Amino acid sequence: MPREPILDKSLHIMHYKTVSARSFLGNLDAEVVMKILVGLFVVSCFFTGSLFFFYKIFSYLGGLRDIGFLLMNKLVSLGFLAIFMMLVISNIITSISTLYRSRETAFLLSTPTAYQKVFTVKFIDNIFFSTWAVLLLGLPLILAYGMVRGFVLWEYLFEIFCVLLPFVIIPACIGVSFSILMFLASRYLSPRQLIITLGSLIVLGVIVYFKIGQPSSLAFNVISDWRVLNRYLGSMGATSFAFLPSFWVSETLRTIASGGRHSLLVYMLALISTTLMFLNVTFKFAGRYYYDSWLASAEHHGKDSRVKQATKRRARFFRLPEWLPSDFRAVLSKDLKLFVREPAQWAQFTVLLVLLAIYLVNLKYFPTDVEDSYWKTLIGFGNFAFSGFILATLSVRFVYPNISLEGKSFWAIASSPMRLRRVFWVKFWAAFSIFVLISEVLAFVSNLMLGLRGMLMALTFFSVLLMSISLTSLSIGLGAIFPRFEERNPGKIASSMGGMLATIISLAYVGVMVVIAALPANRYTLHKMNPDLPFPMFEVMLSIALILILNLTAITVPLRLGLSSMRRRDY
Amino acid sequence: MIELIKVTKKFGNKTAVDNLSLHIKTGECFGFLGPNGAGKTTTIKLMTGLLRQESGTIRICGSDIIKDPEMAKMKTGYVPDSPYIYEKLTAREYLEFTGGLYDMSPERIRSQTEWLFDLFGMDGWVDQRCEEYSHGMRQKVVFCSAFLHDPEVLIVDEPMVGLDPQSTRLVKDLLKLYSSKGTVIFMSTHTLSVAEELCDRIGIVHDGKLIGLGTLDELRSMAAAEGDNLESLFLKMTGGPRRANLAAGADLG
Repeated sequence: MPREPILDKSLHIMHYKTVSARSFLGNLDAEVVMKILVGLFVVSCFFTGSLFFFYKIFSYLGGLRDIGFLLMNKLVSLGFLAIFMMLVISNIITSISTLYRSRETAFLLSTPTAYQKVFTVKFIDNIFFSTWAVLLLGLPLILAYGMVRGFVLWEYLFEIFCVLLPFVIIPACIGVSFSILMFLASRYLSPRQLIITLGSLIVLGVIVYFKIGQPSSLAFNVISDWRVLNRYLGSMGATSFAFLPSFWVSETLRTIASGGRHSLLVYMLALISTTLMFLNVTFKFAGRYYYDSWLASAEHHGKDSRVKQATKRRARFFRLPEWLPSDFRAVLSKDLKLFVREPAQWAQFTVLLVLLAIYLVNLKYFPTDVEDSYWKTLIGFGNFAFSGFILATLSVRFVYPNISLEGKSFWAIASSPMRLRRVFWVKFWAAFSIFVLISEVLAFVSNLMLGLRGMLMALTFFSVLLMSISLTSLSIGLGAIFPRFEERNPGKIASSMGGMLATIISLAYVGVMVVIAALPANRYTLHKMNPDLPFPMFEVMLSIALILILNLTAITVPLRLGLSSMRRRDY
Repeated sequence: MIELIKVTKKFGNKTAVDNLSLHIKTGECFGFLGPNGAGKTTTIKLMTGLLRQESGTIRICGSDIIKDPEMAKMKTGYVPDSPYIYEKLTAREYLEFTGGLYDMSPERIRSQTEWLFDLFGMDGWVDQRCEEYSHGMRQKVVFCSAFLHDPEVLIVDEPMVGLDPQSTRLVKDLLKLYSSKGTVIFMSTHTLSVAEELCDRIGIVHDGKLIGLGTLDELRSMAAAEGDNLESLFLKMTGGPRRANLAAGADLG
């Protein structure tokens, strides 16, 4: 039988995927259109807000004599390194569902389509699903940089496109190849051993990043002594991961600014040639091993999954107190068991906890003997903002998918005498009790490490408690408004359109919380430094009122909307 | 034809298919029966390349499913137990898509599609998206896609689930028709009356092992059960009566 060129069937499949997508877009009902419009509005607000935020920061840095642009370039470089790492992790997580667990993949593999062609299609899917959200978050940084440096917009956008396209393909190659290796290894390692190995590798990578990149040292130097900054930035030159594509992208941006066309060409060619090399190696590797790795993943589903004695012991550990209502206990106990028996869930949870621990340990680089009230407040709020950012990420990643993970079996709960409102409350309390514990430990330890005591610590404690309630409500509510019952991978649920919306709203909520709390705190600090200034009573009262309104809205509105959305749904 | 030679498939310590050998001739309708978890779907997945055996050989019309998977699949039509359909495509688009995967020309896809839609009585539905179909309608679409390229081998996992009586009759007639044209039918089912009515030979699998193979008469003599229907034979061979007695003796209070 004559064989057609390698891309023919891939193009055929891609064509019908496009037809499918067009059909979806052409047949939207009013509710979905409304959800998309609201989503677009929130995304636009977030985009504009972050653009403004980065523009202000870069403008401020640009105004600093001698070191401004240098510092700006280093920040952009660090930003791209973070985006690169996020893309690698995002590609690994997404590939588990797109390349392995997807029913479409199984269907395509049962047809006479060459494995390489199935891989090509799913690889493109993977790049799309794992990249758009990360890029949406990173784009304001890139645009703000261009605006501050006064680039010609269309030229800049074109150059950015030329650079970003290869930039997103390289992490996709790394992530997907890593997944293939992981599934191949799963033939020889148990899921637990595999996850531990994977977790250890990630932790090692992060430690290396912190040791070499020393982002906390950057912050430390910025706030402590401007004079040592030049020395610091100079020392960073050798440790800026010159071999990584993120460095080439940031250098490309820098050379666009300095007009060095020759260097620009060098970095662009480096990016493009490396991308081609990565694509070549990945496709050769996948051509040889993708199908084997897919078979290994399929075999995992058939393995003897009888609950072993050890698992039974763990189940006893999770036995819930008798005084809880039986329906409450039933749903909660099921959720806990499902979480523990899903390696992807607890593995990612463990990795995030380890990252948190690394952040906390890393805080020891900060000076704890700062006496200046202004810097103390600034450090406190910096930590508060960062903790909020982590909590928002945690809530979207682990709380948001909760309703969707009920999956197609939600009918069992929906048809039972248990009221939907109660289901919501179980989900809420289960998530909140774990979430608030992590949040308060984070707040306590970070304040301790930063040497912050008394009023600032109490304020952080209270704010973090409010944040935990609001972020849990936001994630549960939005998860119910945008459920994806057909999806089993929580990572993919969290990176869906609704998940993205939840991320943006949660981040915006954290940002507004920090700003509302920071304004009177700043005035209060100035009052303490200079008692001649009046106590900012009005600002404090206004701030308390605004915080109450913000949190009441964040708690009640999403839960109400989520509940009514679930009631309207057919199961 | 289909050949399975000493095929063994393990999941960890559990042997799902144990040294299975089968030889199914051209034009034969073969029924593959067994209780839940006996290894039926695993065997079918091995035959369609969705799993790989530890040992043994599987050939579809002479093509080894491991060494020459594309050729083997080209000759096969497959109806899985829970089929995947692109929800946003219409039935017509879905068949055009599937036809492309089997290297069919657009003209042939068109003529086959019209014939199958007519045959399955789907005329009024073909340009609606699959997400709007009932379970039975979806099953019809999947059957159409399996018949589309005139396969030499048809592998069907639980063919009658969710079909209305008319469609059930239609599928039975189609299976008979294709079988008489020389197509090999390999059918796994729990609907014993269907197997009894359609199949030339029946294989009974239990705990991954083939415990019975032959025509209905041969199975009767194997089980030393004169005049029994397939259901009693099946229960006798797979330990069903013991469970039936348990149920009969159960006290529901």
